[in-house]
Amino acid sequence: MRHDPYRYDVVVVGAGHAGVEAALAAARAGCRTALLTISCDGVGQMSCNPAIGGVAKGQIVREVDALGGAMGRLADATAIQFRLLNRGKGPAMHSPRAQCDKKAYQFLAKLFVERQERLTLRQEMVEGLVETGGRVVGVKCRGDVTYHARAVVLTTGTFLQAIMHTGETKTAGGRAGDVAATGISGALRELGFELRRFKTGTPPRLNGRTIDFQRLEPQPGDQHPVAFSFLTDKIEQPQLDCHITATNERVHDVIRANLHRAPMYSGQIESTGPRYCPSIEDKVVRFADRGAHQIFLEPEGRATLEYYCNGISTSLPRDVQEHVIGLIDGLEHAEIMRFGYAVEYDFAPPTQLRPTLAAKSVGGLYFAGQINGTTGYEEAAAQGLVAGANAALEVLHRPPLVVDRSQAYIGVLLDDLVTRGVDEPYRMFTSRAEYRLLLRHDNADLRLTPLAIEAGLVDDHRRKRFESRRDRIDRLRRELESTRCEGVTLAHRLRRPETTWYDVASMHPVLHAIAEGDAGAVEQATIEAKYGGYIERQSRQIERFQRLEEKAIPADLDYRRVPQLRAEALEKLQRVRPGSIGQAGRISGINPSDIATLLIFLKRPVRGGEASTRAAGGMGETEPTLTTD
Amino acid sequence: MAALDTSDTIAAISSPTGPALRGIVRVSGPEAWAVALSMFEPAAVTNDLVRTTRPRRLEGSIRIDGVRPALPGSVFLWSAPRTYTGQDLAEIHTIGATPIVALLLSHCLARGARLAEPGEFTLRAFLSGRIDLTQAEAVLDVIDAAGPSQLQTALAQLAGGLAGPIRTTRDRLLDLLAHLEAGLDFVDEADVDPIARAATAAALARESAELAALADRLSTRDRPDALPRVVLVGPPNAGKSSLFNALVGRDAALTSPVAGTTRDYLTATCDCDGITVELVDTAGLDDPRNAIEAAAQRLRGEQADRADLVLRCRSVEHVGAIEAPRDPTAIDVLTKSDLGSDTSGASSPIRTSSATGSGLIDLKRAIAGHLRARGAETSAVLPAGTSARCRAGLARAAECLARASETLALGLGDELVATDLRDALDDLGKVVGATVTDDILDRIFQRFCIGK
Repeated sequence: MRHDPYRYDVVVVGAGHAGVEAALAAARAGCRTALLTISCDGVGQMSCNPAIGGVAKGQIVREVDALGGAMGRLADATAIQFRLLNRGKGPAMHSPRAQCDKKAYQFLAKLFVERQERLTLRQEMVEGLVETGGRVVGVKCRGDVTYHARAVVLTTGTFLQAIMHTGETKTAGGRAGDVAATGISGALRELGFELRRFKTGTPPRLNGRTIDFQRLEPQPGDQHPVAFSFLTDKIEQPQLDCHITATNERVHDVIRANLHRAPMYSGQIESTGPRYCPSIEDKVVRFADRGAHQIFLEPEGRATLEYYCNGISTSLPRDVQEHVIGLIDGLEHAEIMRFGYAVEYDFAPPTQLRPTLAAKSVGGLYFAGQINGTTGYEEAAAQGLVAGANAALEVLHRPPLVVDRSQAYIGVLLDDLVTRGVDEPYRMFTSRAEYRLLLRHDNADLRLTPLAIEAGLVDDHRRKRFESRRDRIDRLRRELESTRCEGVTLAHRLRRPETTWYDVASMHPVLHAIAEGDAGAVEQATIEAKYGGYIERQSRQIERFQRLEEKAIPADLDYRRVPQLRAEALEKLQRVRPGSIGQAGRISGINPSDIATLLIFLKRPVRGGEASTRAAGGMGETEPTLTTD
Repeated sequence: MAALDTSDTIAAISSPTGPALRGIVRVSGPEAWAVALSMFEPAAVTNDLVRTTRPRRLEGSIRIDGVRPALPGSVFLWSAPRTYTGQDLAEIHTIGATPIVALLLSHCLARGARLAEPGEFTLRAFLSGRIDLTQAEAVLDVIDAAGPSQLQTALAQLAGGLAGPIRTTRDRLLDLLAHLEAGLDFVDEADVDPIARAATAAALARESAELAALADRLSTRDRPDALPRVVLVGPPNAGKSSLFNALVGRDAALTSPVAGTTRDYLTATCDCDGITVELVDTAGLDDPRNAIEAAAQRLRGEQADRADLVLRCRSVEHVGAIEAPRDPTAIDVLTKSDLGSDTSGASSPIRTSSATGSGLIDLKRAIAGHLRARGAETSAVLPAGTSARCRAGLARAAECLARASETLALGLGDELVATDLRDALDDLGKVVGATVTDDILDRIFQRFCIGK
């Protein structure tokens, strides 16, 4: 049956890393979905460095995969180099990272989208939103076209009112070679959204034929690559080297002499950029005592000689970029293929959202990715999946997908965004996660796949695979805990630093039989035993955390009616509208006595028919009518 | 935030401050009975500990480490839910000496109870439906009143000098954590030199020692009497000791016309317009000539640090006033006013004469006025609880650091050491008020050039 090509359950605007996951998740969940993009050739494009994962980000990719997302599979299939970072540290710190073939990655992303049932990919320039009765019900596109939708997900990346800077030159556009999206910002403002501006940057790309690799230090991949996806059994493709060089004092002198021409210093750019991803001009100014800064030369693919210069993101003028590159070891004769630039764009401060990434003030509208003030493909993908899934679940009248801080880095990300907001582009770090010993890449599926099964986000193949792995791990755990040897359980014995899995398995060969060579299950059982003490401690902290999360605050609570609430607390609580006492406590500036005040108010005797679970939208003024009879 | 978790067992002193007939510590929560009974020895063999709904009273003795002999006391037990807080509740009653009650509270905290926030018992009573809204709102007033000003007063009093060192230690631990975290989160960054395990071990040992020293200082600086402390300072032979004797009304201090007669310090209580204060006489402000004098000077400095109010004394004979900045916690006193007139023309000091007794009543009124204005009179209720909180926090932080050292010695990962370190920082933060997370990233970005 042919359906109306302008009417969908869910419309996703933007086909970057957030948009792709959002559209795939909404379609997987069962919704007729449209993915609208400025260019079908830009689906899943890596606008910045050609790499997926890294510390904390690698864990997020594993979590996205555990929830049925595409990113892990895309990276596994198209990577040209794998490294497990932090190998020398404990398992919680192990973080997979891969260089990917940029074009192969984005074409495969496009293919995933094309193959997905219920998902339509369309090249459209969205310029406005359609709203009726407090709900967004569609989008307007260039050429006087309207798409109707029951929910809309905005994943506009760096494209809203975007301006690129290279030296004194300013160009409209969200990415080199692309245009800017101009209508959506105005539409959002009309709906009452606050927008602010952030800035990010990218380095020059070089032609590898003109790089003198002989003089540079190679950085090979891992001999035994670790995959991102729980569905990938083995990585078999050959790997390519990256190379390392560095800036030097001569480079720094040139940059210092040209600072007045750098948009960041001339006043041409005023918006905030990320501190952890500074431009080379920033590094030279802020860390004047450092004589050199590392540069990683990363191949952009197997079928190209283009190299990404990781470490010297810059918006200096072209002639300065040329000059600087020529002064770097191994790059004396290097040719720039694309110049570095900075881009400024609109984002919507994410405290305007709920933890489902739905807007608070308007129904049917979801936000994901850089529009929420984050950076990174992984952070974007995670939000896309959550926003897309929740848009679909709302349309299907099913309970939302909610992930909290104790369950996943994704939960930390969502909570940080909606509770604390952002004052620089937000990137994940492991230090942001208070329960990171439990949020490991190796157990992402155990933590999240059950949630995804519940929400209908995974297919049978993944579900069966997951269940068999989980059962095997359970059996190993039970065996380790119930078998005693010389007075102690095997689990206890395995906790000793010098004892290995093979030691206990040779004492109790049944373990080998249960494991059946499943290295992942063995690894899981071993980690749980070895770090048991720490895991228990964090689990206790989590119980405490969850008790406060369970104390719900009604979404429509009128904080002005809470007696004795401080003015500052009132303002912050009204803005964030926390869903629980736990979340309220994490708002900066809210103190324990504010929480006590709130607790007492929530526990107050309820008059007549005024239930604490009144339907959303019922405000204080209408109350007396509810209390009669 | 988690401070208000109702599944915590909480404890607080519930007898009035100061000398009272009996001292009472109240405990509420799942572990209330266990905590109360852990230091109690019943007088007679009893099987009365079987849980029933009826409240009971057990007579016996209270055993507290370091206090001999065991104290006579009783324990009252009520079981949930028919109690004030709706939870298991216990009270330990013993003799009413303030230091004893403070120790008792510390013991409860050491056995897993947490110091109750102001109004928290009543909050629980309300949440469990035992009291109504009107009563609960009265509690909110208490919580509000005890907000920031309480913290300030408590820190100022408790510590005089302790909050500073705790913050400094915490700051160094934060730096150590930032360095560990940088090594974890920024593994591929050339600018981040991972901290060597030996260096981490050394830093942990240093900070553990520092915490132990702080805990020691806390116990010597503790003020069980809880009286506002008024300290006399000034140059040698400024007549401090004569003034001290005149205010106290007896010759407690040895006086002589020779500068430097008071080498140590003396304390006595005296009534100032209705407020009982502890008056402290100290050695003169002078360059020490020998080790004993140096020690005396140090004592003076510590006494002045711990003062609620300082009386800055100088004699009318003394030419050239001491140029001390105006200080709301000090009163300038011009002594020996019978011997001449003020030559400095500085701010209006209170003129006294220990010889004639003139000005003493004015001075006492001024002392009382200052203390009342700053709430030191009422805040004297705080130190017992505050120092118990402080001691418990320091002890827990020290435990966490010990665990961190052990983790390190076992060769386990930096992320586990960091977990212990974070717990220690949380505990210290509860003493001086601060939380961990965002500080760390700020520190990392200030120190290291991060980013590709």
